[in-house]
Amino acid sequence: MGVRLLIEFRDVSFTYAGSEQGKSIENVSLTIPEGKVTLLCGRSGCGKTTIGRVINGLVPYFYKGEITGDILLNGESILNKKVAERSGMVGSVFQNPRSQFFNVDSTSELVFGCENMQFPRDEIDKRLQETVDIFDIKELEGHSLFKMSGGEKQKIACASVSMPGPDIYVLDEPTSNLDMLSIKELSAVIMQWKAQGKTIVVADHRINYLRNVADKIILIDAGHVVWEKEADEFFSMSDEEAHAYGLRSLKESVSCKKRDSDEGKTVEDFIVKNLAFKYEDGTGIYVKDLRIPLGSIIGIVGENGAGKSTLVRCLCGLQKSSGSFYMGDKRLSQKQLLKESYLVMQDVNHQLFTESVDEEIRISIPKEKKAEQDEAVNRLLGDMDLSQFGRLHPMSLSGGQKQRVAVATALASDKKMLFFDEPTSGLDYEHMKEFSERLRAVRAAGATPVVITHDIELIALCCDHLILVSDGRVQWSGRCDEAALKKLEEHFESKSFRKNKAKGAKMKKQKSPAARIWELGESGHRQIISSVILAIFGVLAGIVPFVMASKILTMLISEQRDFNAYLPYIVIGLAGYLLNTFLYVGALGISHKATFKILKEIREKILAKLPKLPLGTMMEMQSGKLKTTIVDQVEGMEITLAHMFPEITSNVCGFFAIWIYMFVVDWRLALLAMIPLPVGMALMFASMAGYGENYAKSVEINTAMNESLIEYTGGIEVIKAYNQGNESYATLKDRCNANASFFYGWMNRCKTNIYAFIVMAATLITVCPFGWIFYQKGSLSLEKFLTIIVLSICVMGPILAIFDFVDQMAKMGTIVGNVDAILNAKEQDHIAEDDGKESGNDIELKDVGFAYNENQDAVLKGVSLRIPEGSKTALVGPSGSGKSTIAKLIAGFWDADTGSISFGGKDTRDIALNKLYDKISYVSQDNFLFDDTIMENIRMGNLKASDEEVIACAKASGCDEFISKLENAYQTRVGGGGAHISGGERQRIAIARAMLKDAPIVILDEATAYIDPENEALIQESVAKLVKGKTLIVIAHRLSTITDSDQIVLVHDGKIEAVGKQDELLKTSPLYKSMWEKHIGTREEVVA
Amino acid sequence: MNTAQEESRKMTVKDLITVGIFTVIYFVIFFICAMTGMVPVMAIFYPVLIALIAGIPCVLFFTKVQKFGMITIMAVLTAVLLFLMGYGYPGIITGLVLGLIADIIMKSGDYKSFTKMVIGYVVFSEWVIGTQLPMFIMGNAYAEQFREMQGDEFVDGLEKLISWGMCAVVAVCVAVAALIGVFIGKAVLKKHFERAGIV
Amino acid sequence: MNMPESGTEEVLINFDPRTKLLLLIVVNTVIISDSGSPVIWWLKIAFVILVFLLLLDMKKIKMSILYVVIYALAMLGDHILVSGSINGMSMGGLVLRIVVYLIERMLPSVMLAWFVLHSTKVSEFIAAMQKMHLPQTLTIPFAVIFRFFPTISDEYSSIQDAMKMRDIRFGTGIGRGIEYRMVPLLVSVTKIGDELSAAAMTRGLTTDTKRTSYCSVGFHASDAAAFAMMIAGSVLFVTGLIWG
Repeated sequence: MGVRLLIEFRDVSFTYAGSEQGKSIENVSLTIPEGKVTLLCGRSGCGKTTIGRVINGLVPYFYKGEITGDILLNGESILNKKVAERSGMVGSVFQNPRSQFFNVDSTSELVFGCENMQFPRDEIDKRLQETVDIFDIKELEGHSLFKMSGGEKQKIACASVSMPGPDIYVLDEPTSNLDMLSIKELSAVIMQWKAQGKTIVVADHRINYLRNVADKIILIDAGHVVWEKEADEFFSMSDEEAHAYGLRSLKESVSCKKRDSDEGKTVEDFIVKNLAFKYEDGTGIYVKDLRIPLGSIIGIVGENGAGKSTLVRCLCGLQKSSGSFYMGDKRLSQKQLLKESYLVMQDVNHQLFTESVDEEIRISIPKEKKAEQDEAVNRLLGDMDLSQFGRLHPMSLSGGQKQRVAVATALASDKKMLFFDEPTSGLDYEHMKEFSERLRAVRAAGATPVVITHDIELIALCCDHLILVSDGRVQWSGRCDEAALKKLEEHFESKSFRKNKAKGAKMKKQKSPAARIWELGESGHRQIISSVILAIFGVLAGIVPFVMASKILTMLISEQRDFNAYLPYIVIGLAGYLLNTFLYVGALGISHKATFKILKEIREKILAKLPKLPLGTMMEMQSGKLKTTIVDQVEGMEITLAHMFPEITSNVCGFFAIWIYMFVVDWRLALLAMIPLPVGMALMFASMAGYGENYAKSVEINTAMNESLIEYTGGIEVIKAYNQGNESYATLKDRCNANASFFYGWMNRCKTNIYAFIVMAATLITVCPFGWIFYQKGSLSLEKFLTIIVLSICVMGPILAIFDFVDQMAKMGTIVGNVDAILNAKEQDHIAEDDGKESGNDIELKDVGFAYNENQDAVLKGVSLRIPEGSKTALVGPSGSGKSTIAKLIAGFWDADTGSISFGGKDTRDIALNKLYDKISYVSQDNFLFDDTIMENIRMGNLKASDEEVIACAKASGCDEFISKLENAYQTRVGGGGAHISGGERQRIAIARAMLKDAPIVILDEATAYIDPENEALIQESVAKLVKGKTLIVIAHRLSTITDSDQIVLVHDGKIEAVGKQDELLKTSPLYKSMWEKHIGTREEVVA
Repeated sequence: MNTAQEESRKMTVKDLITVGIFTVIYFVIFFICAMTGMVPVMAIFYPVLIALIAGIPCVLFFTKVQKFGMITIMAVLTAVLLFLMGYGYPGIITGLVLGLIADIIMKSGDYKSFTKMVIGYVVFSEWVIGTQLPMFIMGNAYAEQFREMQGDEFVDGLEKLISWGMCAVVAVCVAVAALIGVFIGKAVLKKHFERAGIV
Repeated sequence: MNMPESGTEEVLINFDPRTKLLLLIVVNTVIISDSGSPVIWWLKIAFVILVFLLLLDMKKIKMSILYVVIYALAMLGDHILVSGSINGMSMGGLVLRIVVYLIERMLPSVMLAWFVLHSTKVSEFIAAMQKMHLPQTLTIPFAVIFRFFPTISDEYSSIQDAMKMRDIRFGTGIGRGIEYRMVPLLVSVTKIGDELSAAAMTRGLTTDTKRTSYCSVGFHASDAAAFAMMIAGSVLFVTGLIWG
């Protein structure tokens, strides 16, 4: 007891103005407890939405009508408070994200509420930063709302409603338009609000997402409160009970409810081949081969943005796409597709055109059947249960009725395929069931219904065939049965454990390469700017000689004989030329010095970054690529920095200076002189098309060649031993040739470039003839004519210089991209310095999810595990199940994407990386030995150890014997990669290392895989010594080695399938039992 | 309490949003019709086309919002949009003046009289000619430039085309089109909007 | 159809929306005028270049070059016509005359307007309007307008899709064509408007209270420069008109 009642309804009744159906809610008395989540549920039209509206004031101040009774907030009546007055206390989230937003971009929308409530600017700013953090929407800041997905929009809606900090949240069917992933995110938001102590009221049909969230559930029917239940009681209801109340299923997963006798009969198939379509932003779909059985009910599923709508639009012919479509044997064109398909849209308002339901159906009837029109119309009206609405305007009907009208028109049109886009998104159980009956009726009428839907219940009820679309591809297509439904669930689970890294990256605005290079060259900015200034003056000085030349020419023509008159012009011209040279050289000198400094800094930055990357990422990087980036590509920036900035800017200024002068002299010729420019530019752009891609490809081919070379020389042993010499060499040869021919081909294609240059600079082409005409007509003096001619020649220089560099620009994209890939790579997110507190060594994983990269499915899908200090734990499971990944995550190679890993209660992210690494010794199958002595190699475990300690460990791990037999004993150098030591010996050295380190946690990743039977006993002994008193985690395939573990963890498909001791597992887990039996079957001994 | 019976004279948030929406629709119609102005004849007669087509949304608009200033705001904002797209500001002035007059006319009938709506719409539709004013005003000065080179015949012909007389002709055509437009709008209102329940 | 979209481009140097309005007014007036005065002629050229620079400011290199090229061609065309080289009465001459007239009078204004629209966000416009003390009755519809352009575009294409699927069955003709497009559009848009109003009200939007503005607009150095230019320009313009 003692929960304050926040909101109280006292005998409230309300009738909407102009409603013929009487009271919408009647004598409603209920209480909404503070700080809890209350769910209002019931059939469509029961009044739950109205109750929500009473809270935020929309009833009765927006939806006018007659209201009686009172509503109290903390004991005070708020009935007379208008909507805006209540807005500070009540935040409302609606069903349809698209019509909630007042603004165009997300940031404006976030601050909208606060602006309306007159919050001062800094207060708004503060709240904005907090909200963005809490809701994790940094990537969405400032982006256009129109381009976001439904889930993102709803998230922004929730965030913006919470900005003014209301105490109460009212949500009206907020999940109607969301896919499963977004619904999960929404329920996380609600949990967050609850954690902040807010009061939340949700009215919805969909219930299972509130399973662990809702506290109190109120059932409404026909405007009355039927009952109130606590969450545990409510969620233990069976599905039948729920359906009886008109509610959707309460369980999280759904089982197939179809009866076999329901199956449709397949007549023929609708075949799609090589369908491809892309939007401007690059997203699109590609379907190689898809067969859809006509005559069945088809369901198309997939997360938002997967491409379902695009696919359907292409299938029904609304969208032009490449690919071929067949119905049975007949090939269909896009027009024919249109003729055979009909799409019932999510918003049916767009499809109803006429003034009565009757007419609407009538116009759909094909011309050939006009004679039997009346009969057909009446029949359809009856079938769809619309007979009493015949005369009414279609837009005056309810949503469900409108949908039936649309279906009726579809059936009337005799089309073979009927597509439905999210038809049941806002429907309660009964209506959804009715709809599934409707689908059966459509099927019976000979058409094929295809439904795009998120609604698993609908699928379970009636779909015959399922198509799963994800990432623009058809992932799976097949019969809809229990197994199919399971597959669906798994797909969505794996998706939800992958943080949407990819989306975030796409949304980031791309900086132009030049701007990025400018950024990277920060330290040299001043020098580069001064070189630019010098260069500008240099170019301007370079104009002077030409101007002087024109003056001299004029004087010559006017037969000026006095040499002295020429003198000043000559001198000035010469001076200008000299000045130009000096300034130019000076400018380039400065810029080069600055550039080399900058390049050095960039390389240093990269090298400094490398250690900060997650260990796992580093291990996966190809050394060839790394080398190319650090050495060659950074080198490529020299040209841009040292030449481009000063030369382009100065030449552009020069060009304008000359041209303005020309313009002032005679504007007509100045304009005419410029005409060849665009022509040349057009030619140039034509030849440059795809430069960027070509360059990127050239880097690719080059890298491939490099790698082939490295592999050939590195693996020459294997190649020779297996006599692959000729094949491997052939690959190498091929790649070298490919490299060369690629460049030849490219050069060839660039011939046009040269022509372009020629044309562009040919300013005289237009100047001479037109100038002559003007001169003849008397509108141009000789002096001016000559000046223009000389200047036209002068202007060619800058033009050519500028376009020379445009060439370089294209390269920049690739270079900057590669450099940035490293500089901006995700670092491990650990705090830099430890707070000194020791954290204990109990390891715990909570709901950990992880994927290696954004393009792959999650490897771990919600792993929870406890490993107490000092225990021996074994991770077993089939290949690829994720056991190595779990070990690597514990060792700190990567950070988990979702969930948390903690040591002694402290999250690993709160532990400094070096402290984390101190805790763990990781011994794996391949053991790297450095190019150093054995002594030093073992000492790697603890650099402070003395020689005696090293030898002691070597003895304990069983290495001492073979080491002593070597030439230099411990001082023997083991070559790069430790090439002269056998596998078993290497293993023992690695174990010695681990012993020396003496870390509290030891992870053995199939560390005994290599060992020959002789040494196995030795190794077992040394390992036993190593792990005495420590926490041991073993990953093993050979199950007999881990039978004594304190806990054996069976990992399967990214999840923990079973945990326990050997005998427990043998009893409880069939998978473990079968693995065990297979294992001992290969051994002669029988293990007890 | 019964909130359905309260009504104020001032515009509510809902009214203002409705004004915004219908302004967009009117603007789109305007733009499409003005684009037909590529054909020289239409450059002079596009206001007629607008008056005809815009009848449908306008009648709906007048029925939904019945507050003073609705037409003025719509006209002014449309003109401002045009200005922001580079088509000059004379439209703002005619929009303001004629819009106000239309508002006053309709208000006198409390926005409920159909006759007043007809007159109001006709008056309102004339504002579009304001966007053509530069053409009429400057046109003569422009034509004069050519008198030396091209001769009187040509210049006179051009001048007749952009004369004030032509402007009057356009105004009359607009009035007629507006009349037709309003009746079409009313018919569509009865046939669809009232029965659909969105009025 | 090109829907006006506001504030979608990045600008290197930005101006207060009120300055941009002033720019629009002055440049518009000057460019349209037909006076033969040489002062005004040079003023026009100066403004054409100003617009070019503003487009560059928006990093739209291709567009600004195209704009200047087209204007230059128009100028040349005008010169040809005036000098009488082509018969002004012929079909070709007439077309050329109209095209040149339109380009010279309208292109700079349209490009400047494009600059203004695309470099200013709606919230910046609203903030400026509020600073100018314009009433809510103007600012709210203004904001709604920009928000609705994309919406109407979407709705319309949905309707078109729907019509495509049923097209042959319709008795076509302009009348029906317009009816079938407008009616669903208006119904749909009205419904969205209603939902939007309800949502906006729950966010505290009213007609009485003044709103604060998160987006800040204010005058900076660039505005001062622009103002100076406009004042100089206006003075020159008036001088040109009076004294020729």
